[in-house]
Amino acid sequence: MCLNWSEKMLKFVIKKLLLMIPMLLLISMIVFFGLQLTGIDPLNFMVSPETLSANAGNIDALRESLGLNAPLIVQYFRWLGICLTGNLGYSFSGAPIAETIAVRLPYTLELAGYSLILSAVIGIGIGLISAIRQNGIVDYAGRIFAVLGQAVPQFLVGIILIQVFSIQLGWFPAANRVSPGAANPFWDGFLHLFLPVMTLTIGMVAVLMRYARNTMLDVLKSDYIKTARSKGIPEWKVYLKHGFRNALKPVLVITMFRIPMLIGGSVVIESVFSYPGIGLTMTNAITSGDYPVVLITTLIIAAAMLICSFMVDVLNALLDPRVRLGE
Amino acid sequence: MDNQQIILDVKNLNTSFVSDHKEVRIIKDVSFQVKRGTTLAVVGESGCGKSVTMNSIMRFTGSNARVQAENIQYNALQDEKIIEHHLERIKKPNGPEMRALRGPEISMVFQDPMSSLNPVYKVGDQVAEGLIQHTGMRKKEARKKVLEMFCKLGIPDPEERIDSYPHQFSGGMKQRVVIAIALICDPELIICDEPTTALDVTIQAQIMELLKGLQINEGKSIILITHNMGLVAEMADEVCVMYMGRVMEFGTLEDIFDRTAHPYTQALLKSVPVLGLADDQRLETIPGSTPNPADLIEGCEFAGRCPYTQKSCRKGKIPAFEVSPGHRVRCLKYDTFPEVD
Amino acid sequence: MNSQTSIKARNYAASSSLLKRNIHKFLDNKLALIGLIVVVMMTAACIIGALAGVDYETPNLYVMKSPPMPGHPFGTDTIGRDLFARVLYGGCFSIFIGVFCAVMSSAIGATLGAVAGYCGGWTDKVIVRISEIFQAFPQLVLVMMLVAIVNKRGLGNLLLIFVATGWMTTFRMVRNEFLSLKGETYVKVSEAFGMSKQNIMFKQVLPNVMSPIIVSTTTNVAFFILQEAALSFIGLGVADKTPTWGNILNVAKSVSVVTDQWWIWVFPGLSISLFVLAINFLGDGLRDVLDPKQQ
Repeated sequence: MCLNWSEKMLKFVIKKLLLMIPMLLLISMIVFFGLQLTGIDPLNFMVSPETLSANAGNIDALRESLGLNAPLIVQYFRWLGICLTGNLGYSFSGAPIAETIAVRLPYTLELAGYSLILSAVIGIGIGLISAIRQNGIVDYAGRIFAVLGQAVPQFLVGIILIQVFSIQLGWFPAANRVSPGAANPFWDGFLHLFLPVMTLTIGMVAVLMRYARNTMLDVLKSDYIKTARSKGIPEWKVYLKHGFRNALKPVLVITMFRIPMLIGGSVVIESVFSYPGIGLTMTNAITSGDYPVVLITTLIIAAAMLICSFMVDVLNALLDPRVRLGE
Repeated sequence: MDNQQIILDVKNLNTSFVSDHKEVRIIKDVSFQVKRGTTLAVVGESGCGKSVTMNSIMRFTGSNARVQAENIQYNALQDEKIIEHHLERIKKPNGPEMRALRGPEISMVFQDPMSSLNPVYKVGDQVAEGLIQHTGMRKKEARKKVLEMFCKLGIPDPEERIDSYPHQFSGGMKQRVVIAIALICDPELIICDEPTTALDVTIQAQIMELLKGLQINEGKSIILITHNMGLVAEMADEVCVMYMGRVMEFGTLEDIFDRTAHPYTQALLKSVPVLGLADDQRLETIPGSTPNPADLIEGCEFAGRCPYTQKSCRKGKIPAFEVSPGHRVRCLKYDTFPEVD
Repeated sequence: MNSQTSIKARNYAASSSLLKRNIHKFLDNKLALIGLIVVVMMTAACIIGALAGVDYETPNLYVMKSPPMPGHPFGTDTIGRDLFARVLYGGCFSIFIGVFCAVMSSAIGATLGAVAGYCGGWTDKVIVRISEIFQAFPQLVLVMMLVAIVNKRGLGNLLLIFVATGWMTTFRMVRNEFLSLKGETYVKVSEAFGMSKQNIMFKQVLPNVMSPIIVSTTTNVAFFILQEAALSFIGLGVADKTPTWGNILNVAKSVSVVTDQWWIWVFPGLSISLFVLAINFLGDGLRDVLDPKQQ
């Protein structure tokens, strides 16, 4: 029955990947037409400033050659085509957006990625301990932490961390991602990442911990835990092999579901720490009315979301034999 | 009777649960014995404490339970010698002493096969787990043993089924897997907690036959928890009737069915549908409903629903009387017989 | 006639005793009770302050950046406005934003969820697709995009954007409930009686889903307050002249304020945290009472 599951898995993955395409198209359409509503001239972001000044005399011809007099829907597909070649257009200040994104996207991925891993490990770990030792010290401390972590605005946590660790203690830099001329880029990166990652992690841990605890408590109540105990195996095996393994799936799925929260959070946190990622780029673009950049950053974030939900589906299938067989 | 004959001796078992700062007694002074190589049936309505009794013995009760007993003695038979285990003295419910007993000595078959198997592991691995734990066997050898066990329990295509996941099995097959888990370490005593309630009637009969076969052919001792009087008549050598966490009547199958003493047992037997019920015969119900265990009741728990209730039934503690050797009844109707504790 | 009234009376008695028991259960939950008291007291303080006409907008150039002192219990901000007045006045807006957006988005989510779940078919598919597209964005990013498109920062626009982007969780929950309740006998009976769809959806089925809706609306109040604060903090919220808790905190972007004028960010920060904390306790308490099957 499981003979060809790798084949089935492949089919499943491909099907999910294909489903992503119409979603992406639709989202890019919404973003494109939405920003048309703001009344900006597409010429401003489809052409580099040099070309624009070189053709200053015959803007209309340029417009015609780019098809900007064609109906909107044609314009959209033309724009999409150009984007797919890797040319994401130009910001109002004239910089090619692709170059900015190429530098800043990895920064955001670093920030969100480390926070995700760290918060998953810490949150699930504490959640499990609180469930196993219900009403123990870890459980109580964890609950207080969860309640506070969900109530204090994340940017305020960031401010407090800056105040304590950066200004008072001077352990970490309060802003930016790289210091010019740092001797050890890895260590320098660690110092810059530490506080923003911590800020995001605290918020995520508060949510995940509570969920992991409740899931594990539910799992520990199930009959197969009793069956496992009736075999006379040691308690750690009961908890890890039978309990944790079953709690893992819903907890991981929720962790992945919380990625939007993480990315939304990183947009704010990048502002707090002046961290030059996609989020700060977007924030600044909105404040300064740089619509081409807003358009591209929104699209990139939406694409990231779609990839995440795709990964949730695949992970789900990998972890649960029932889903694997397409039931 | 000596320890050779008796495999499990429970005396004055009390279990209470603490919830909302209140302690509720669920199991009250329960005593019974299981003879080696026989089947004891524990019967009663749902909620009468049958399962809690067994879980208390196996220490599967949660952290809010308090289990106390004068004696829970399990007599292991090893190389013609008796080794006494006093379960009531074991402090940690999931500590090494308890774990050493679970599997190779006492094992349990649970009510709902749908939920008693771990959904994420192959059934073969789940059966082998206990074996590997207690014998230190290698995976390959264990697999062979599991295959043998699957054949013995009548699971078709064992070679293929051993690598399947629980959700690929039907209910009856799942229960066979659960029984395989219980049997794989060759235990002496098997506690079956309503093993067929969740199954179809035809499958029920197959599973019961399987268990009966184990008892007769391999000399296993079985405790069968059920509310099905028909099963009791077919399976049991001795019967323990429970109501509201108390043993109301205890005796051999004949004692209970032919020389029924306790009014509750009588009522229970009358409420069983029998094939060929005469036209004028009506199926009787027990009037009233089971009281809430949290309400403290003085005297006999069944007094509120009993047709023979007297004033004295509602006062003090009702002792058990031995109406014939081994046949104990907790009812004042029999107060002329000698009292036993 | 007689039996009818007696059934009615009995129903009434049963429901009132259920209500009594629920109130008892709620009062027994100390954290929830504290939450309720804090929420009520803070709201009342903000409204009374605003009604009393505290002066939140006149800068007093002589007492700029003053720490807490008599006359200015929370101190003054960078241009000498009284912080206590600003926190009270801002509280009104923050709480209003939270409550309004939570209630409106729940109403929209519940209505769409009811329609989608009950009608099924194409209606369902279309609404579900729309909600999926909305959910493809992190909510804050969606809000930011809309802020960019609308390009005018005002309270009205903000409310509109929050409601437009906040209805999906309620929608999904209500739709799922409707899908499972659709098969219940009482729905079949209502259909057999020839009741109109609207009647069945909103009068017969929806009341059964009310408990989780109430709970999620409560917790959403906290969510929207935090969302507004975050948006205002990065400078995309309501325009500066309308104070909200988030808006007041906006000055804390400057390191010198964070270091030297702690009171400017500590008091509004505390207000948000305390209010959100209280709302969360209240929500948890309501969930325990109304909807025990949810965790």
